Formats: sequence, C-alpha cells, structure tokens
Amino acid sequence: MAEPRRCPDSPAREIPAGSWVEITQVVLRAGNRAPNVPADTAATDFVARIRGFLVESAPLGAHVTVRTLLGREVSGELAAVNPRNPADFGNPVPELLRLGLAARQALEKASSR
Amino acid sequence: MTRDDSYAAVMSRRAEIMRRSVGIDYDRYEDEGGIAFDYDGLAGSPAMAFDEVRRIQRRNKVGDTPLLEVPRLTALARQTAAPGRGARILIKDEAANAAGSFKARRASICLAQAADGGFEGVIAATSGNYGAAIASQAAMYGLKALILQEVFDSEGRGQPEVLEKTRACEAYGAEVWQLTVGPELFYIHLRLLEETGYFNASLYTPYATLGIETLGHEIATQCVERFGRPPAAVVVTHSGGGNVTGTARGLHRAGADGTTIVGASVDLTGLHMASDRDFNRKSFTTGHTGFGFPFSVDPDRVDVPRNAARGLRYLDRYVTVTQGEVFYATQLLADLEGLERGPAGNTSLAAALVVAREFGEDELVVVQETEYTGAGKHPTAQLTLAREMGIEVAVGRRDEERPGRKIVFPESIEAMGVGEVDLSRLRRSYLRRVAAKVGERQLEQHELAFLEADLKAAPDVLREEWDAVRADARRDAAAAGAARG
Repeated sequence: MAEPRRCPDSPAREIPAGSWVEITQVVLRAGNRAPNVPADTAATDFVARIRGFLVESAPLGAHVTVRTLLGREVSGELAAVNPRNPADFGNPVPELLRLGLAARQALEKASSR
Repeated sequence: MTRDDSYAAVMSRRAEIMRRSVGIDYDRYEDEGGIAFDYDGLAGSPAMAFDEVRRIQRRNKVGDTPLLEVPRLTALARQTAAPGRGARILIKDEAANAAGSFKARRASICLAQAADGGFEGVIAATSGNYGAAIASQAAMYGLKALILQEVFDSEGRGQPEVLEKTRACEAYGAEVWQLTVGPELFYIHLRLLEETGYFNASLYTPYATLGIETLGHEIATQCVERFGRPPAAVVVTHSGGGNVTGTARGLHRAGADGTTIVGASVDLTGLHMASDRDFNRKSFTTGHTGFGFPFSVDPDRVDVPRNAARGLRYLDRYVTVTQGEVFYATQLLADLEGLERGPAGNTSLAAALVVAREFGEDELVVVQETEYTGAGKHPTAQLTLAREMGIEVAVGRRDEERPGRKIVFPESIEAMGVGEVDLSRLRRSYLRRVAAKVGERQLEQHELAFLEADLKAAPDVLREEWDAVRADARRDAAAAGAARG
C-alpha cells in the first residue's frame, strides 16, 4: 500500500506560517530501542507524527516548530501540509452481506413454521 | 542543567514521575514481602461516594445508557439451543456515552480527579476508545489532553481504527502523538508527563475502575426494574481487566451477587503485540487475548505501581471467540436489529450468542457494552486492510481461523462457538511469577489470603496450585543446576 499521507507538493515550495501541518520526529533510532522489543521491531526507528500550526514558513523536509492544539511548541521534520485523514470504510465484504441475508431467511423460515 | 532524556535515564525516573502524575501514594497499600497489597484499601481510596460518581457522570454526558432488547437475535440464538433453553439477550448500549464508548465512564472520573488536583492537562497512552473519551471529557472541563497512540508500522501503514481515533481526539481539541510500533510508547509517556506536569489519566487507577462500577450497577438495577430479576450472566469484553473489574464490582454493589461474570476476548494467539510485522495483521486493537492473557497473569505490568483492574479476581469464566465470529455478530446486529456498532465492542456479543444457549428462556444474559462504529473501525475497513495484508478471508469452520493468516466467518449461528480458557492455567502462570519473586521462602498467611482473593480461588485450590507451581520451580532449578554442573 502506498504511503497515503505525504503532501504531493514539490519540496522546494515554502509552506506559509500558520498552515496546519504534520511533523515527524525520530524518538529512538534502530539500535537504541528498548531491550525487550522483538527483532523485527528493533530494526526500525521509533517515530512520532504530531500535527500543529506551523510557527515559521519553511519548505517540506525542514526542521520546524509547530504550535499544537494545546498551544505547546513541538519540533520535528516538516512532513505534510493539511494531512488527509486516510481512514475510510474500505471495500464491501460480499461474504458478510450473504451471511446477513441467510440469517434473516433462517429467522423468517422459523417464524412461519 | 538540562535533563537527561535518554531511554535509560527516563525509565530510571519512572517511579518518581508516576507518583507526581497520578496523585496516589501507592506505598501506603503495600504489605510486607512485595507480593500482597491492600487491594480493597486501594480500590476504595478515591474520596468519592458512589452517588458523587453518578452525579459527575450525569453532568458529563456519561451513563444511564439504554439496556436494549434484541428479540430477533434472541430468537436466532434459540434456534441453536435445546427446547426451553436460550436466554433473553440484552445489550447495554454504551455507544450512547459521550465519545461513543464505555471508556467515557473511566475518563469522566479520572478527569474529575485531575480537575480537583489543579492539573492543567492530562496525558493518556492509548490507541483505543479511551483516548477519545479522555479528550472529550477534558473538553468539558476545559483541560488540555495529550494522547499517545500506537498507529503505524515501519512502512507508514496506519491501523485504520487508530487513525479514526486520532481524528476523533483532534476533533475534541487534543494533541495527538502518533507512534510506530513498540513498547517505548511508555518512554514517551513518561517523558511528556515530566515535560508538561500533566496528570496521568492511567486506565489502571482506582478512579478509572470506579468509573465503570456505574455500568455494572445500572445493568443490575435496569434488569430488576424491568424483568424483576438480575441477569444470570453478564458477558464482558476482557482486555486490560478494568472492564471486568468495574462491572463486577458494580454488580456486587447493586446486590447482584449470583450473576456469572463471563469474560470474552478475541483469539489472537500467535501474533506478537510488539511486533512491527504483526501489527497490521490483526483486525482488533483491543479486547483480545494479546492483552487479556498477560494482564490476567501479571496485572501489575502497567503504568502505575499497582493495577486496580484485576481480571482474575472477578472472572467466573473466560472464553475466546474468533475475529470472524465478531465480524459475523456485528453483521447480525446490523441486519437483524438495525444497530450498527463496533466491531471491537461486539466481542462480548459474539460470545453471548453462544453462552445464551446454556441458560433457560426465562433468564437474562447481558452483553455489557457496545461502541460507536465509523470509518476505519467498521468491519469493511478492517477486512479491507486484512486483505491488503494478504490475509485470507473466507466462510468456514471456526477452528480454521489462523490469526494473522486467515479470518473465517461462521456460515450460520449454529457454527459459532467459544473457546474455554482454563482459569487454573492462568492462575498457575500468575503463581509462577510469585514463585520467582519469593524464591525458597514460605508464603505468609496474609499473602495466601491475598492470593486467594486476587485469583478468586478457594483455599484448598490455591494451596494445590501453589504447591504444583513450587514443585515445578524446584525441578527446573535442579535441572538448570545439573546442566551447569
């Protein structure tokens, strides 16, 4: 599945101060993870994404500060502008539709007996 | 002087950070020996009468949720029961709470405590409905809410249900930290508690479980008022233990001592909860065995020194259902009863459709919660992700389901079942941890009494299980010694 949240804009464009943006922050590098994590997880960076209003204009990829909805200032790499919320309802599941229909029929058959 | 924020340094300050951020002196309740503690003292520590809890919840758009009859589901379930069997099934519609789940009950009381303590804001580390509940309750108090969620695998693929929760939390004005997979969520949690001085809205304080007691209490009183009797059984989705604990305590508080407490978890056996690879191969982010088992056998593995939520203390029976069965139950609830809910909250519904067969037609079986549904949460969203992850989705037998590889819908209600969890096995697993702690010394009388209560085991049962665990530990030690020698 393609990464759904990146901004399609060219990285050179200045993002104006006050834009609603997403920043990323590498919290712990691979190799510095907690001692108890499984090997597949330990091989990856532990990364945070936080959203807020951009404090000063900057291009994508720059190290920036945002003001969050709590008014706190948090820093990280500017990753996206107006990031889309990607959660949706997905595709229909015909198997479940058929099973629901069959359950209705089972109930009707019983009540008509 | 700058603070050392390295992983090791922050973790070493854990006890101090926690003490400041939850406002409870846990040492007061510790008994000699490190095994037992004064559970009733801790559980009863909130300086808040039960009426006060209800008053806070009413003010904050929580509780007094409808207890719904689902006659068509009951009729369908009775088709699979012996003549005269098949309890009347009722559903407590917890989706009616502010923020759409029973978690508002916990959050409302945690936020009351934070407001009383003069905190500026609260932090909760949760990928589930609790985050939205905290953010929603914080909005009512005008407090700040900072929510930490485990959302992405290392390829940036988000679990849709958690992405929906990010959206909800931000809609309620929270700051959300979306994190990749890993238990270091706890490290960030501590760091941000230290940085902000906010209150730790832990799921596991006595305030959080007290907030759920109203749920058990409402179930008992609503059943008695409408049907003249308490429920024969209440089926509770079991994960960290708070839902079971609060509900059971509330039922007891209302005098429903004869009600059987049935815990239900989605069977995710074989998937590792801290694995980057497995993260998006599960369709449920909570209410599953990946939490239900470890929290039962090691309840104090949480963000506070002692967990007020203790599943084994209250469970009479513990069953598992498959992911496919919960999706099927969710479809039935929509198709036969016109209610779109869940799916995660329908874990207890899937179990109840089976458990109800065992009770008489005049008895009541209560499904203890629903939760809101929506984009990301809905079965179609979860099953779309599953198929993208290469998981097979099919209709078939329940024993064909393989968590992380195959999801199987039952072809009819007759094909649904439950797996019985051996509570004795869980108790012995709990006791192995005790044995590792105490070494060769004998348990004191007060420790035995604590364990009997904490494991809901009769004295002779506890004694027998403890002796067996002890004997195994000695044999293992001898074998290890021989291997070394």
